[in-house]
Amino acid sequence: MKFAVTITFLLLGMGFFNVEGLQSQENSEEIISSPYIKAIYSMPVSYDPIKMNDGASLIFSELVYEGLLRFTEDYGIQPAIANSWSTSSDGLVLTFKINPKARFHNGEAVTAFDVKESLSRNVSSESLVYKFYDVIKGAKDYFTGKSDSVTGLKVVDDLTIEIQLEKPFPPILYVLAGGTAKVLPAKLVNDMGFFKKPIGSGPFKVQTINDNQIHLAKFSKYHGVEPRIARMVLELLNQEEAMSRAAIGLIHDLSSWPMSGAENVFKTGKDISSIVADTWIIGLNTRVKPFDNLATRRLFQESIDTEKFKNRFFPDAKSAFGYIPPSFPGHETSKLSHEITMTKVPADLVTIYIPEELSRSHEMADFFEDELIEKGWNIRVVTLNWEEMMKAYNEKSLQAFMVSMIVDYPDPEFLLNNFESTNPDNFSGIKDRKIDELILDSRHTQDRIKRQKLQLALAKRVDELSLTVNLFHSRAHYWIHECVEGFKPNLLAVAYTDYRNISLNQDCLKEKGLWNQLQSMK
Amino acid sequence: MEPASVHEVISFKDFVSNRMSSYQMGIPLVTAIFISLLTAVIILKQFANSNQTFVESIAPHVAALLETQDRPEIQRFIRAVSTKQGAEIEVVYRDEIIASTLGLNRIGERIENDIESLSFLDLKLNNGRLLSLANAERGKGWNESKAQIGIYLNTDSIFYVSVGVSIGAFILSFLVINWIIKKVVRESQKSLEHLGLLEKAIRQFQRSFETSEIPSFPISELESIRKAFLDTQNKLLESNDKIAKSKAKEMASYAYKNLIHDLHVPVTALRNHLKIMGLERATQKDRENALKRIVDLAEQVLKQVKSARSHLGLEISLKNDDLVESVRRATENAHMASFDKPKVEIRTTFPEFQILKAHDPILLGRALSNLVTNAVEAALSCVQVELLPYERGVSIKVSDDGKGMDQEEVSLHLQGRGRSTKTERMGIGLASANHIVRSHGGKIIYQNSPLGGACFEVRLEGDLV
Repeated sequence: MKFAVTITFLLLGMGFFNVEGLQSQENSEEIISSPYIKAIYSMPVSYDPIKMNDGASLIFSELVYEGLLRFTEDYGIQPAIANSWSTSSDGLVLTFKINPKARFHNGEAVTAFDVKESLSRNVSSESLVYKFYDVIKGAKDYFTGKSDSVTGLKVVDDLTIEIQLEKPFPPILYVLAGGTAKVLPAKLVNDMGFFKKPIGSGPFKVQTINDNQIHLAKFSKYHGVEPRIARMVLELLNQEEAMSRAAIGLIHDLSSWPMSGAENVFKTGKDISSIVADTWIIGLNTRVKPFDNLATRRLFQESIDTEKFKNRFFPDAKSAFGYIPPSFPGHETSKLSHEITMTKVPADLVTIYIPEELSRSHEMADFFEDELIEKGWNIRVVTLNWEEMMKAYNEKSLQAFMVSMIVDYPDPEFLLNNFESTNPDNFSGIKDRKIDELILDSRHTQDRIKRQKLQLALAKRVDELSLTVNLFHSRAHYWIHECVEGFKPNLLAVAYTDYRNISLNQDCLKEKGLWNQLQSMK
Repeated sequence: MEPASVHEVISFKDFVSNRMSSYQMGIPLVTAIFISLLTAVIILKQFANSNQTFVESIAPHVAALLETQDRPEIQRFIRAVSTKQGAEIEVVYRDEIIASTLGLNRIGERIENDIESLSFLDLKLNNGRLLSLANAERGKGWNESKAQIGIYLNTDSIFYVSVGVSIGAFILSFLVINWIIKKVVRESQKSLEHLGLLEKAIRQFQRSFETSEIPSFPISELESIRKAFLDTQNKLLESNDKIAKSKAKEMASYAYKNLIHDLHVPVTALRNHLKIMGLERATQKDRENALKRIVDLAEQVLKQVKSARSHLGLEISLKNDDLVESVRRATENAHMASFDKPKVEIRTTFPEFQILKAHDPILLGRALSNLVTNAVEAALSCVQVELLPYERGVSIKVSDDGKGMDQEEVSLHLQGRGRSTKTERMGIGLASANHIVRSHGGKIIYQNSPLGGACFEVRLEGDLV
């Protein structure tokens, strides 16, 4: 489970597009069309798929890169680079046929060798997402440097790749459809500076990347559904600025922010409402006192009125009684009753970190301080900018932090392995034998019902250990400009939204008097 | 009498076709609507049953997925099966839509509370969409409550199929009804052949009804027409006899009245000429003229008496004589008869050429004599007789400087129903004159005279020579 936070960066001197490089557009349509402008709350933390751990990176990945598979909008999978695939009867071998039309943005054909090299990177020591791929045969040896190649990745011919697994693991298809399983050109990926202007085989190719903008153009030789947007700009904006510019038609897409629908910007444009598989939490780090103690965590959990918080800041959201979001096994629909054994609030200073760029972050800080000081906690709430917070998060130094946990893949396995003691992404630092055993059992169980039962037990155990204060599960309201057509959010994560089917109605822009304005931004 | 309304005369085939045109479109239309409704109901029933069976068959599997709380799998499952079934499916748990192919934005929303139960086919109505619901029972899972699976009826398919069937039914029934109509027209035309025979027989009968007869026909309606015609014929003959007798009586009476009146002028003239014969101061020439006029007048009297005896008041014998001469003679006769009004001057304006026009000199002369005599009677000092040919006939105007007559009074006199304030003769004379002029195809028009009194204009139309 990764996190994405509704954050913003305050940038000065913004407001004009830097579209150098757009002069070399490939066709006239690109020149005469106004760009589709999508605001993003942060620049991608990494442009390398194997290091992607945040929403903005995943958005970029889905637009520019292509994997063997893609997610459909409602949890299914569909062909991407692979135009067909099969699984052996024992579930250990997956064979993918590569679409011969698939091309990288530099015009070179995508081959099975490129797939092998890219997936090998996913299980390399550099990878931050190794845990999703460790079921591939030979992955561990490659990861630890015992082997020079991943034995489970076999190039059958230029257009056929075989993936062998250590054990049957059906959700591997979801992993291969995810944002980190992207295929990069093997010949170029290890070059210095490759990720300054990366080359993928996705529907959009990179034109330029600067500090606050990413300019993309339709890849005319894309093998799949031809994108309908000719030019796209991902622009870093804080939420307030993004909303005010959206209101006057200069931003077309605010879907990076799952909003409540009550914001002023919704007076114009389209409100696309959808469930989101997320849980907003205050993560508790068991490595740092006083949260190393279960009784303290439970008392802390009990001290925050989460309903009050939800109603004040996200009234349209659903109450969160457990860690698991709606739609997944272990989701709780009523308040859990844990035994509170601690009666005295510990004297230790507790610091909660909130992303500074979050809309109303200071109000939220005041809320937590008021709630907890009143109940005797020695509390401090700090708003921190996203970059610093990410750094501290990775260093596991944050004592308590507010984030939104989103689901990577439509399988409960990936929701709960964040709490596995060996997972480098284990933000809570919990080391619980029962959790580890259940995750292991779940991974080795093929029977669906038995597997789900293990996962229910796992979710129950995570909630019992009170590793998070569960604030709410959001129901997103995505704001889209009224000239945008075909926007369908992905139920799994908005980062997986399929922009190939979205278009920007140029006639509509002309009617609204925006076309010339957007054109003049060149 | 009202003018007869004018109908377009069309053939029997067209007549029948026109009459059938409403059926030509109406029957196929009604048939199409009926069949499309029937089809829609049948398809609706089949779809509803199929949906109900389908949703019941997938319910156990959905229940199993609910048991595992794996909603993504439920969504994937209903996506796959809804494509196969061709209908949208939703899974509802505790009034919340947890999976939907109808719209992803519906997931997580409350199902509308306004679902209405319908009394047929176990269907429900949700926001205008027909829905079959089945329970997905959950055994001893983590929660004992149950979910519902709703499958929406694909009304679009039903609509398109029904429209397709109705168009087919319309075309088929249109072709059938047109074939039937053609057949009916053809057979009706055959039956009309008997009508043609009847018409032919009637025409033959009209030409010689004493020697020919109308045969009977094997079709009752034609036989009725034949009998009706014969009855009408007989009644017409009887009526003709009655009318002839009545007319003869009326004409005899009329002719007698005319005779009495018409004899007044010639007899008076005759008497005056006889007086001239007896006058000592009369010259030989006067006596010869008088004798000649006496002979003429005697012939005229004789002819009038003969005419009256034959019960035909007027038996016009047309001659192409000089109309100018006839008018002049009539004027002179009237002048002669009006000796008791010696102060009244009779002025004449006649053309200096002959106008040859077919007329009866004696009868028309008598009519004009009457008009002139009347004018002299009414005049104070002057009577004007004027004959003028015009473009399409001839106009004879008799004007006086008397006090004139009322228009209505003139009309009554012209019809023979008026009474003169002075003498009986005047009224009788006008009616007689009118009758004679009309017998010549002309008419008498009354107008105010430029001399100040009455002016009677006789207009005789027709080519002049």
